[in-house]
Amino acid sequence: MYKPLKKPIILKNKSIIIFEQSEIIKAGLEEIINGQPEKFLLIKQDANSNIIDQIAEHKPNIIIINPNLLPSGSYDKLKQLIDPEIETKLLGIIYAYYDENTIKLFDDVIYINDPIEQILEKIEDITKTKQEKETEKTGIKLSEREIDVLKHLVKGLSNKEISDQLFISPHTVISHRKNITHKLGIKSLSGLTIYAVLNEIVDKSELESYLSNNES
Amino acid sequence: MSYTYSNNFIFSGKMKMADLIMFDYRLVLILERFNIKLGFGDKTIDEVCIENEIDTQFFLIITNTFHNKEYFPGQELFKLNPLWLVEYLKNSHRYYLNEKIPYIIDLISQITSSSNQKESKLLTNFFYEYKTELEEHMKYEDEFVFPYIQVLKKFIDKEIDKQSLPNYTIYKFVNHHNNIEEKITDLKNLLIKYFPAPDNTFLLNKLLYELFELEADLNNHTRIEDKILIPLVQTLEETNNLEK
Repeated sequence: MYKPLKKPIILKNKSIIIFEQSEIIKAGLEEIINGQPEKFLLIKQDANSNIIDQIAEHKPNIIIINPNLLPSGSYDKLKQLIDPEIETKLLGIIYAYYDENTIKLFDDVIYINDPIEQILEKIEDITKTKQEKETEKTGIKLSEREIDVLKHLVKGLSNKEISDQLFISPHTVISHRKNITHKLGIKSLSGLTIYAVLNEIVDKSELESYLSNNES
Repeated sequence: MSYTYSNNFIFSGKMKMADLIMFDYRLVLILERFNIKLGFGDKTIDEVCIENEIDTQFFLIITNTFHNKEYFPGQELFKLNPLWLVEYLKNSHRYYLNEKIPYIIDLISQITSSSNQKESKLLTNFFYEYKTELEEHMKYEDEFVFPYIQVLKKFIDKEIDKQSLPNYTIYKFVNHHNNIEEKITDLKNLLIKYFPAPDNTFLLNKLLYELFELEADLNNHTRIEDKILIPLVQTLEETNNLEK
């Protein structure tokens, strides 16, 4: 007998590790990243272990690294850091002069004068698949905020809980919901869940276990 | 008579039944719910109804309501026997639950068997949810609303006394009447816009088409309940001093 959709689906967030020798800059980056717990998971760097080992151990999605700390030597050493399965991305923190070749080693770079919004955008965009970027260009409908609300809805949170999570009023949550429905043409929670899965807003592997639990 | 589609035409008893169907072929479904078989030759609607022991006015009200969204029966509504409506609506339920829904489920299983993607499972799950909602909605009507109306009629005909009436009014049905169309609209949008097309697009297109038809049929079903059944029963309750 088929049971209705109620199990919350755990969302994928990206794991990030920061290698930066300036405490101030590192603290600033950590603050920005910890402000988005739904999207990013910060891995604490271990001062006693070397970079290559830590990366091998934690397998982060994103490595934010000061070029100074790159393993000295060739590009090959750098390539070792990248795990093809996870598609690790390298994000450089730049506040000194580096030549163009060094900058090119990274998937993207953050400059010390970048506003917070832009830093977040760079971190988010860096892990987007080519398809996601394509669909963005063709004007995918939902705004970042609306996607946030959608993620939480699909997770099973109430309007009140979502408003607490995102620090907005319940009225704003309802307003976002209406916009989402209006843009997509989908109203029911189950329908929105399907949309979220089809558009990879929600993790596939979590869905597998949900589906097999409901097979009866 | 050649086929033209017009939403402003009101059917009358003097029309040939055959012309009615030629005019709006979807009314074949309605005939089924009245248990009227095809093969009535050149008989008029009046004649066919008399033969099948159906009140002509009732038949015309239902067909006109189906054909034309703006149509409202007016005062003839209150001359109707509510039991006719109950029987018609019950036959409609049978059609949805025993014919239409199983057919759609079969289509979906054909689609999912030919493509092994996770999207297929999502589709199946979602439709099963919808099916459950629909079944519950109809079950409520079958178990509460229709029996109530049958007992109410007995009371009006003075076959039973007031004590035998259940603690129910049609007002409770109005409040219970939930929105079953929501999921179908969602499903249509998902199929049209967001589902990756399987190899066999013919099946997916057919499914979409069936969903549109089911939705239209259900909308009509709801309209009959809202515009005919409920006002009729409310009036009966009032004129028999039963409103609560």
